Amino acid sequence: MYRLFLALRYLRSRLVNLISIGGVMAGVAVLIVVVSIMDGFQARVKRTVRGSLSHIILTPTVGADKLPAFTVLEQGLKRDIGAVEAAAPQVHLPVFHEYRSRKRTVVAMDGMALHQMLAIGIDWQRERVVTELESYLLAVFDPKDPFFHPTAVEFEKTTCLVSRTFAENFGLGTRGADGEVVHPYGAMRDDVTGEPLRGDAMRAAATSLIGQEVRIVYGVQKSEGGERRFSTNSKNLIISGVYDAHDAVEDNTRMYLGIGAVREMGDVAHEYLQANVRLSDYEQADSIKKTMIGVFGDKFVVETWEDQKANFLRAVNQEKVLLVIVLSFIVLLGGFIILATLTLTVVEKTRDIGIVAALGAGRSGILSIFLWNGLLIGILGSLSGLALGAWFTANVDGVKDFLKSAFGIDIFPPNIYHFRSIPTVWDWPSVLMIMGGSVIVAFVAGLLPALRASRLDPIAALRYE
Amino acid sequence: MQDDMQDGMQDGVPEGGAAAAVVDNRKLLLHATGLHKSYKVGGEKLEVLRGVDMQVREGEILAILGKSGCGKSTLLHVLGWLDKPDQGRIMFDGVDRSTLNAQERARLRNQVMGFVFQFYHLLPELTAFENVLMPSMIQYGPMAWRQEKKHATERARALLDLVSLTPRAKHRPRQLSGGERQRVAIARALQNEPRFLFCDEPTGNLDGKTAEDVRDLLWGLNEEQNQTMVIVTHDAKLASHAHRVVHLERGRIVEGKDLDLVEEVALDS
Repeated sequence: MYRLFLALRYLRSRLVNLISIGGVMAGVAVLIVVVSIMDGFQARVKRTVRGSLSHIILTPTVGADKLPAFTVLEQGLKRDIGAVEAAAPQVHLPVFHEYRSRKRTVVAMDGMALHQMLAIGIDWQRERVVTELESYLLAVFDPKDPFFHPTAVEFEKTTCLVSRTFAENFGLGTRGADGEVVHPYGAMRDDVTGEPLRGDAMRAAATSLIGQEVRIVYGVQKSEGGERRFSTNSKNLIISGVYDAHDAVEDNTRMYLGIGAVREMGDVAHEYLQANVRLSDYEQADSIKKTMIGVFGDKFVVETWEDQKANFLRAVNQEKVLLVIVLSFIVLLGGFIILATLTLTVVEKTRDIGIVAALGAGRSGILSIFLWNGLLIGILGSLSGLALGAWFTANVDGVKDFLKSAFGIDIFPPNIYHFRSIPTVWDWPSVLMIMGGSVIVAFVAGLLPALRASRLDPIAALRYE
Repeated sequence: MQDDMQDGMQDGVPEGGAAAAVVDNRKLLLHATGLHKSYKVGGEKLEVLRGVDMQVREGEILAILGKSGCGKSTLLHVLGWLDKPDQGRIMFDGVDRSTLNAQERARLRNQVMGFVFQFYHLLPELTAFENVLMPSMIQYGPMAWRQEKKHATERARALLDLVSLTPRAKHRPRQLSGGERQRVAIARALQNEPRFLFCDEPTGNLDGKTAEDVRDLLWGLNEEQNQTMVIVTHDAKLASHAHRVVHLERGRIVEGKDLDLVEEVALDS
């Protein structure tokens, strides 16, 4: 009984214990925040990448003449492979977006520069079932057909869907119809601060972009008389919709067009260059992939979206592991602080140890007093670290915004981390593991001073002044 | 088993010893024979106890008188099982110290012995009441404490009342005077109803009036509760009230000196 009682008293009466508790608290809080952010990051990356990629991707390995018609492939997939819900064709064409630049390094003429992108040709009715693109739309002229725009019909032009990020980064909507600058930073940014717009203002700005034009340049390969020839072409596309797939990096380099338009622009003989498949249960993806390889392996490379992004996903996971290892040193540092403060406590309490021994406390009892002391520091540090970590995790975007507005420090730039807001996931098993680990570190740190206390000679301790 | 040893020990009291000749047939509580203790100081062996023999009977107040630094405190620590003798045997209420391990010695020290030190040795983080309660808290584990808490706290309150410190129960040692601290230490020593009280210079750090109060308290305990005590002191006045006085000289006990000699020793020290 006296063990815990005295441990609590020593804890309460000594200010230096607060430093130990603070050390453990900082370690636990930092680890919780980092693990929550990295888990959130991983989850958001998976959701976002998968959102525009579909579960399984089939890429043809044969020429256009041997490629099965998409409807045949679609029927075959649904008939022969279980769990296939839908499939959608895509054709990709590398293009350059031509834009006005102040920089003179990558210029073509008249201060115009090129930004590399991928024009993705899709069959809207099929695509909307296979990927999440429909849910990402912010503004369209016609929700039933996002590629419809009356001006395009009237002047026989091609329409496209551009991303919010792309529109922000390249200042779409800077000039009005007469060529005058109406929004100095583009329609998607605040005219005064240049900060990206949010909420309704952002949606309204996205809507204002519909009907405006973007210019692209692209190359076309042709085979003439057995010779391959390469020519360039350019086109003004009409924006018929704006989307936001929440991936600041990918969104900046993608635009969606009708599949027919892309095939025509690139003179693509293949009916499709990619078949995206949606499964009813992604958990079975690996086994279904194997079945698909058996059935379609002679004409297609079959990959899950995770195969396609394997390096990226591995990098994200690796980053998490590295961060956890590095930041665990903070908890270890907390352990050393406990070791130092408890050693100091034992020295200061030498006389008390002698008194308690004279009153009949055994070695194990004295050992327990200081073990409890270390354990209590660990428990209190972990609990306060949990509270601080939970608060920080819940308000991480607020903290990020505060740091940016107060000190101009952008701790989470979207062009590096893909997302505008910092994603977090609260995973209790991870949190409990961090807390448990910290308590164990505190306990072990308390062991050495506790052993030292228990081995003190009571008589020498009583004489100690 | 303890009773058997006790009986055996009563039979084993040496015949013809000085104490045996003087003291009546009250039960023998403490019996030490041939105690030796030495320390190494600066690489040299310093013999503090050179074959001390001693007996204390139930209800007796024995004063051990000697010059400062003659080893009185060492003797008390050895008798109270706080320290281990190099040689010799100590029987306490029939139990031989050497037959017990450290944990058992600690338990017996907690339950049958009480200690009062010259410098009080109260725990500074605890209140007077908590200091008095501490021996009971050490005695009982968490489960037993639930049952015993009420009885233990009542006893601690009663003891604080006995030493007239009820109003100071919630004060910490630094808020108490020297005399008050010593009275708290006495109350603490009595908390587990010990059969034996070891007092190391209990008035050594107190002024005359306060020292008299503490002495009255201790002697009152003996008269009312038949409390057995060994008091180590260089205060001849305090020793003169003891039932029996022995001298520690050159590491050996010299018994039966009259009070004049006691005064002499006191003056020398």
